[in-house]
Order: sequence, then C-alpha cells, then structure tokens
Amino acid sequence: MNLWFISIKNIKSKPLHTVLSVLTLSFSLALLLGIAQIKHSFEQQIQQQVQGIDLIVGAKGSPIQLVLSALLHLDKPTGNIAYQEALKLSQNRHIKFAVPISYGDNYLGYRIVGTTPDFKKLYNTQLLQGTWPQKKLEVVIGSQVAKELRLQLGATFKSAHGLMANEHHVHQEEFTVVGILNSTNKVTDRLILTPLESIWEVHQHKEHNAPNLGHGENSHQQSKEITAILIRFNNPMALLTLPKKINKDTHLQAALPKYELNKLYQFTNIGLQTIATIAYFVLMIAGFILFSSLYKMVQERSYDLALMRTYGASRLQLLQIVLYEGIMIVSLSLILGILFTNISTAIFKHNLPQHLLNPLPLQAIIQIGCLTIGVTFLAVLLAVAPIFNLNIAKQLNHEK
Amino acid sequence: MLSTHQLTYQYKKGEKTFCFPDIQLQPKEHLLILGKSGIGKTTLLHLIAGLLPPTSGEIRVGDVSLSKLTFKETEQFRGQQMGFVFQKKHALASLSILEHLKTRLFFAKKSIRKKQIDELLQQLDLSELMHKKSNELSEGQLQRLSIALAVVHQPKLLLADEPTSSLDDINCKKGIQLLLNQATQNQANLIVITHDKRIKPYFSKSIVL
Repeated sequence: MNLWFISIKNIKSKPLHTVLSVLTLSFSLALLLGIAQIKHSFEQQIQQQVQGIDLIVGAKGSPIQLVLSALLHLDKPTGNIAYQEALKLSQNRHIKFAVPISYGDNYLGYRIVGTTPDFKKLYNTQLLQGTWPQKKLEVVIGSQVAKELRLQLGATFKSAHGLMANEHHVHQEEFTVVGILNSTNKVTDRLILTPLESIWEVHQHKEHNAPNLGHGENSHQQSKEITAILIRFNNPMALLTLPKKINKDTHLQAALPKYELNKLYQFTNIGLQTIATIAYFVLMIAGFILFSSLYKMVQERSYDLALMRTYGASRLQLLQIVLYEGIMIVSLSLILGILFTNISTAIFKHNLPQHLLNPLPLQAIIQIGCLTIGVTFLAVLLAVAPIFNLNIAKQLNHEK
Repeated sequence: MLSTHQLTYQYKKGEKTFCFPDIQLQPKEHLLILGKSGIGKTTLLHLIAGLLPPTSGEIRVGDVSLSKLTFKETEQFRGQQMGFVFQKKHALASLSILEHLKTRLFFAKKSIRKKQIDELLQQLDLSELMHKKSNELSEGQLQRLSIALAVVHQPKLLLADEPTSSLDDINCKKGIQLLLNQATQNQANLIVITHDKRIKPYFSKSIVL
C-alpha cells in the first residue's frame, strides 16, 4: 500500500476523464513533435545537401525547381542543356569542381543519375563495396537503394522512363550493379549513379511518344545533352559574379541552392507555424481537461480527502496523490505521443519513395516533453489549491 | 483515558459560545452524549478529535494534552490513536474494502497484518465482500465497513457521530453492539454522540448536553 496505489485507483475510477486527458495531451504532443520533425528534417536537408555545392546551372525556368530537381532529386528537371556548353562553362578558373548530371529515369522510384567520377568528390562519398562504374550501363547504388530494393553487387535491372516507378516505358538496356556507396545521410543514399554515357546509350535509339521530361532524349545524338551542372567554387568571390554572368550572358540558368532552399523554407514555415499554433492550442485544452479531471477529484471528493485526513494523511500526502495522478497521465501521454509520431513517420516513409524525414533529435523531444510536463504541473498546481484550505471539520459536517 | 476541562468553542466572534461539561473517562469506560441537534454535539466531537482548536479549556487523551501538539503532531496522533464513525456512510469510492483498510493502516503508519484484517472482517461479516467497492455495498454493510475502518488500527479512542440515526432498528442494534464489542476488544474508550434514544440502554454512562 502506498500513495501511488491510491492514485492509480483514482485514475481508474474516472476512466472517461483519464482517457480524454491522455488522448488530448498525446495528440498535441504528437502534433508538436511532428512539426518539430518536419522542421528539423527541412533544416537538416538544407544543411546537408547544400554542403559543398555552391551553384547549380541548368536550363532556364524556375530556380527553385532547378534546385529541387538537381540537388534534392524531388522535382522534375527544368529542361536540358547542351553538354558542350556545360564543358565550356566548366573551364572557368573560379570553379573547383563542375559535375554534370543527367537524370530522368528511375528504377522502382529511385532515380538514375548519369554523372562523372567527380560526383563522389563533390559529395564526399565513398564506396562500401565494389568499384566505381568504369563502363556504360554499370551503376553504383546508394545505401538506401541497396537496402530497400535488396540489390547486391552483380544484380541487374532495367530502368523506367520518368521519375516515378511505372511499367509503361521500360528501357531495354540492362544495368548492372558494380558498387554500393556508404551511407552519408545525403541525397546520394537514394540515387543510382552511372556514367553519363549510359543515359545517352539508353535514350539514343528512342523515339517513343513519352512526354519529354528533359534528359538527353534527342534524336540528333551528335548534340549530347545533360540536365544540370553542380558546381563548387574555389573562390567565394565567384559567388557574387558568376551567377549573374551566367544568367545574363547565356541561355542557361544559375541558381544558388542555399538561397533558394532558404526561400522555400520561409514559405513552408508559415504553414508550419499555423499548425504549431493549433498544436499549442490543443495542448492548452489538454491542460485544461487535465486540470478539470484533477479538480473534479479534489472538489467532488473533498469528503474523501477529509476522511483520509482523519486517517492521519498529511496535506502533503494528499497533494502527492493528485500529483502522482498528473505524473501518470503525462507519462502515458508522452509515451503515446512519441509512439503516434513514430507510427505516422513510418507511414509517411512508406508513402514517400525518398527518405526525407530525419529521425527527431533528442533535444526537440526533451523540449516538447518539458513543455507538456510544465502544462501538467500547472494543471496539478491549480487543481490542488483547495487542499490547502480543506476544512476537515466542515467537510465531515456536510451531510448530503 | 480521556479528560476534558472547561471546554468552550466559538465559531465566529460575536456568535454564540458553546460551553461543554467536563468529561472524565477511565480505561475501558464508554460514554454516550445525548442532545438535540444544534446543541454542539458534533462540535464537541471535533474538539476531542483535534479537528477544531478549543477557544478555551483543555483536552487530554492518555497523557497527551492536545493543545500542546503541533499541527502535524495532532494529525498523526489523530490518525494513530483515534478512530471515527461518522453519520454519513461514506467510503473512498475508488477502493475495495480490503484496500480501504490497508489505506487506513498506511496513513496511520501501522504495519499491515493480513491475519488481523481477516479476523476483523470475519467479526464484522465482511469477509466475502472484501474485494467489493463501497458503491456496491448496502447501508448496513457500509456501516460495518466504517466500524472496521474506525478500529483496524487499534486506536485508544473511538469517536462515533450519530452512528445509528439513519439505520432501522435491527441494523441500529447490530451496529451499536459491534461498536461496543470492538471498543472493548481494543481496550479503547468509546464516545457516541447522538440524538438517537434507542441506544441509551447500551451505555452505563451518559451525559445530556
């Protein structure tokens, strides 16, 4: 027999209030955690993906689209650019690396990107197994691709046209896996990399009616095309001059990934803020329900409390009983809330072909957890106030 | 052992002051306090229980003077040395009979002895109900539970406020006999305050307020 036991019995004796408190608390918690996770993932993505890539050059169009497609591999390409022109641009003395990429095909939803060996230097990624592709139609796959599709060295597959898995436009050429990359938590984890020549090979004899998604699908193969160039400068001064020059003097488009993604982040942040406000509101309501549940116990059961006082219970012990109720409800809510978030993350993960959601950092969980605990303690504090003024003699005299 | 000396109590300044006759109880002696409602019976009981501080006068239980105890000490003394039966038949709704008795012992800081509880439940005919909650009990069963709660921690002083007035004749007789039995078994002083004249024959000592 102890105070916890009495608290548990109290909680059990009012299931509706308890369930309501736990549900609202855990719901607001899950919302807050979810938002924190999205925000965190977004910031992480910007930080991680942009690292080392100062400029992206592609076909004219929306700069955000260019960044999303060439850097994060989320959007459709803006169009194609001539390989010759890209090579010419790469000669600029301010450029340390200029890595051409060509994309537009996929295998079961994972994008196939044609590029050069410089790609691995740009992304600072290493081989886990096998070798870097030497010939066309050889591929090296990201760690997530290997894991999710259970591909091993030597496995072969046929690519599909477009960026989503489909069965309508399957190319005839077979790709062979010759290497698997280390996990970097960058976009490379979910890419299939191959020499540029593979992409050109797959598409040179094609003349089907698929909508042009922008890669080197050109019947005049003498003008080889790519989709974009990823550039790292060796001199930060170039950041100021080169993009302007490209945008003005050529029919190419230069986009600064950091700037574009931050802009996008600002936009989405407004929406996230709105949801966050709602979540805080729900948290407030949860606190209120919890308060009313505890207050109900203190108020309606003041006779019970007086009775316990005649048994020798001190005020502190009565406070503890109410506090323990709060603690149990909040712990249950914390567990459920985190569970909700993890479940919904798992569901989203399955619906998204790409791994975009980073695991939630402990700091965010602690922050939101502390907020919830704070609300609970406030509710407890307000609810127990009558215990201090409990007049046992008066209570016992109240005859119903 | 209980003695009171020139007890008075005033609820608010300017209101009527209650004056109470002195009470002297030897060990194992029981007392019936009769009086009409409004005369201050319950007030006297609450004074003896230390739930209200007397405006003047002294109360001694055993060798302890209640007015000398601090708030916390009074609380503990009450929990350990006194047992109560109230008019309102009410028990903690969330607990079963057995849990309730254990809670009572827990707050009185007394060890929980299963055998003693079993015996008590047997005597009060509650053994078969010990896992039932208070809202599942009848009036008579509730009354027996409140008697069990009043004596389970073996107090020195048993205070009963109108323990029988809401009961029919049969339950009244049963109830008062159980109270007297338990008091005698625990060697406690029993004080019953009531306006219920039916229980007068059970007491050798009584005062009228």
